[in-house]
Amino acid sequence: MATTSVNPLISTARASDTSPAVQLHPLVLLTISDSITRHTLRQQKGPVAGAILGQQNGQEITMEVAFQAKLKGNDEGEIVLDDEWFSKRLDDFKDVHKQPQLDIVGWFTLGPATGPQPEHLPIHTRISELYNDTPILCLFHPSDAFSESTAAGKLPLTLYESVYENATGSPNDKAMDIDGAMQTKALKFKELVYTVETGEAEMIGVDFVARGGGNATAVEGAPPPKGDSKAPEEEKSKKGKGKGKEKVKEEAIDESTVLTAEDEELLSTLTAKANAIRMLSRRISLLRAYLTSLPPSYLSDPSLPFTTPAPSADHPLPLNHTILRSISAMLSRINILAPPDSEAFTLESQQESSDVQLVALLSSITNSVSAAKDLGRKSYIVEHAKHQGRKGGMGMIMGGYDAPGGNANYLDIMGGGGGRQFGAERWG
Amino acid sequence: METAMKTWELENSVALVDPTKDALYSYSASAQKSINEAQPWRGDPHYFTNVRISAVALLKMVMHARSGGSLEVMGLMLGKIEANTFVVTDSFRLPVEGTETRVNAQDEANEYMVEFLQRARDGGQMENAVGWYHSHPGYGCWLSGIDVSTQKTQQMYQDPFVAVVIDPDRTVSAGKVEIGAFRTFTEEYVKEKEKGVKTTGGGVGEDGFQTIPLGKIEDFGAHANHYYALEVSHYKSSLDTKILEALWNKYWVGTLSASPLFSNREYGTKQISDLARKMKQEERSLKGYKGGFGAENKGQLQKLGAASGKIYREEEMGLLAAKVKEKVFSLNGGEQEVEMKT
Repeated sequence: MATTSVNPLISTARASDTSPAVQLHPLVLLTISDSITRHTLRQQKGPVAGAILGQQNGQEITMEVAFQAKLKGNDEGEIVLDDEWFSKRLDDFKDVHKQPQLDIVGWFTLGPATGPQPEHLPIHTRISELYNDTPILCLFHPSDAFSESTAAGKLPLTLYESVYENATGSPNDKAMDIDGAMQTKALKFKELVYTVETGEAEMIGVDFVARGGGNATAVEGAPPPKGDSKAPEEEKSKKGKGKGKEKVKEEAIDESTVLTAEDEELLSTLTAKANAIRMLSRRISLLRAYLTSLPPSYLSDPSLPFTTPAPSADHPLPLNHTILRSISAMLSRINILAPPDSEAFTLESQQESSDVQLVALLSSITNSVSAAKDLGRKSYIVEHAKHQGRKGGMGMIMGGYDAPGGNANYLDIMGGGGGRQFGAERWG
Repeated sequence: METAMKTWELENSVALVDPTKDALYSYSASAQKSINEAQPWRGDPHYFTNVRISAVALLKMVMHARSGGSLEVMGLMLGKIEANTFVVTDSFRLPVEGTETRVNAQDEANEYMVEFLQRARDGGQMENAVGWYHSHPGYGCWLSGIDVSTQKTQQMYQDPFVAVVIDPDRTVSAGKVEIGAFRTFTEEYVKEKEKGVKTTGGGVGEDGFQTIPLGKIEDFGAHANHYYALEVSHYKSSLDTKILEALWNKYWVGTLSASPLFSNREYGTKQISDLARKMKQEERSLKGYKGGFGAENKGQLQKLGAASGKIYREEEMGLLAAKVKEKVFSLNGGEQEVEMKT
């Protein structure tokens, strides 16, 4: 963040080991996004802010659930939480997130990429007074949401932990002055590193939602069922919307008639895999491209001087030792991660695959038995009909082939051949 | 401070939202009121045909269902009505946990519900509750007898109301969200229908064959006459789309490294042992019926075949994942390796 130094609220201290490691769950992100969308479309007043709940375990913090908070203005013209509402709402959420027990770990709001603004402070201090000594501020940057970096995989938000810095310890005089003027006792924000974590079900859910789900993928591009062009002013005329929706639905269904549900399932799993592999290859080629773009090293070419070569036209990127070190660490780890006992591993995976094949075999045997039994039953009908010399026999046989619900017919033919009706009932 | 507040609010005005594309997120109290007063669903038992669930509501429900483990969990959905569609905008959990097929809202849950809704309204979510959801861990999406009666009561007093069922176990094993939405018929309508053509399988058949554990089988289908399934789809806002795209860049590693064969071993074993029990039962009933022409058992064996086919497909999918991994990394367990440092 290049502009960081301009913001007096950002701590200039170096990141320390005591900073918590944050795991962010997608649900929080979607809740924030949902709040924003709803807020805008319903033309609600005031800023968007809300609480984030998660677990705190030493230096590890998870952010799992979030909700939008009710805000109000106080006498001094500041925006603060509606305390009573907030504490009750918090209890509501705590009541239903007991395993594991979640508690408030931070809050979210919208803000510029430069960092927290003075007007964010009242809420932050309030939360730290009442609920959590060190709440984390999750700042969502609306201006970044549609930028290049988001498309490249950087989420448009920054997490900050708050620290109380000793005013004399601040290396920045200017920051000190401003802090004093705002009477915040040098409350500073320090940017935090976070990772995105997903639970198993959560991942599937996110994936499902992201792909446009089921067989609606084809329709995804066309801004789907959100109704035909309907600006907020036209909201009253809701009737026409239904039709637009139906149309899209039909398109979606068309595709599903071609593919069975099973094919669909298989396809979606494979597509997900393919996407992941594509991503992997993109990452690897990025690494390769970076490495080839670097200037020749004095390690491999002794004739070069022991200095870091400056970026030139041929090699526009500067040498970044951290990246190089990570790459080298990664490469050396590959060997370690290969299973030490590859034979056992092969055996294991072969067993696994033969297990699956066994299931396949059993499944096809079951189907064969079922088919054989069906054949037996049908031939019995034919024989029976012949035996009786009935004229209508043919018709009955035909009926036997295509009438899954024709139980009653067979019973008639067979003259009450069995009273054990329960099976059919159950499966019916 | 006044100006500061203005700047904060300015952040909201950045065009993140496309009013056309994200129209489902808007809410008009007056329109909802007029729909509620008109009650077009009164006359037509099949009035509602679709349920559309917002990304955030769907995710909340799936995670809730999964967090319950083998217990049934339950929650409510907020939303609105548009034409023949339930639009679910949000969902929240209720502090109840059921066992097996018995999920029922109790008094404490009712109190919680009322207060939660009130607070949601104070906080700017004006939607009404339009339905309830609960989980069926491992036995598919359909309504049990108790569910049917719960839903009937709700439709009597709370209409419009929809019941949503999620199967977290199958969600994980199949890798896609297993969800169903249902509405019940009124008693009169059911009777009328029973007099006429005897239809079966209201809830089934929509999404193919479902394997039902033996313990639940009596319940399954017994009430199929009393409800019908709605088509479920979901929607997301344009901002959601952006975020999800960015997210994919973070969690693709998980897709690749996941080993469904391993993580779903327990589920698969349970499925197989259940199938084996059913097979035994079938065998007994066939033996009891000497000669074995078994017309009345027709279809049962076929269903067993379908069930085993389904199990096979799930297993195969897991194997496929392992195979893909093996091919890509050529017996190199270290696929995690390719991390997100770049």
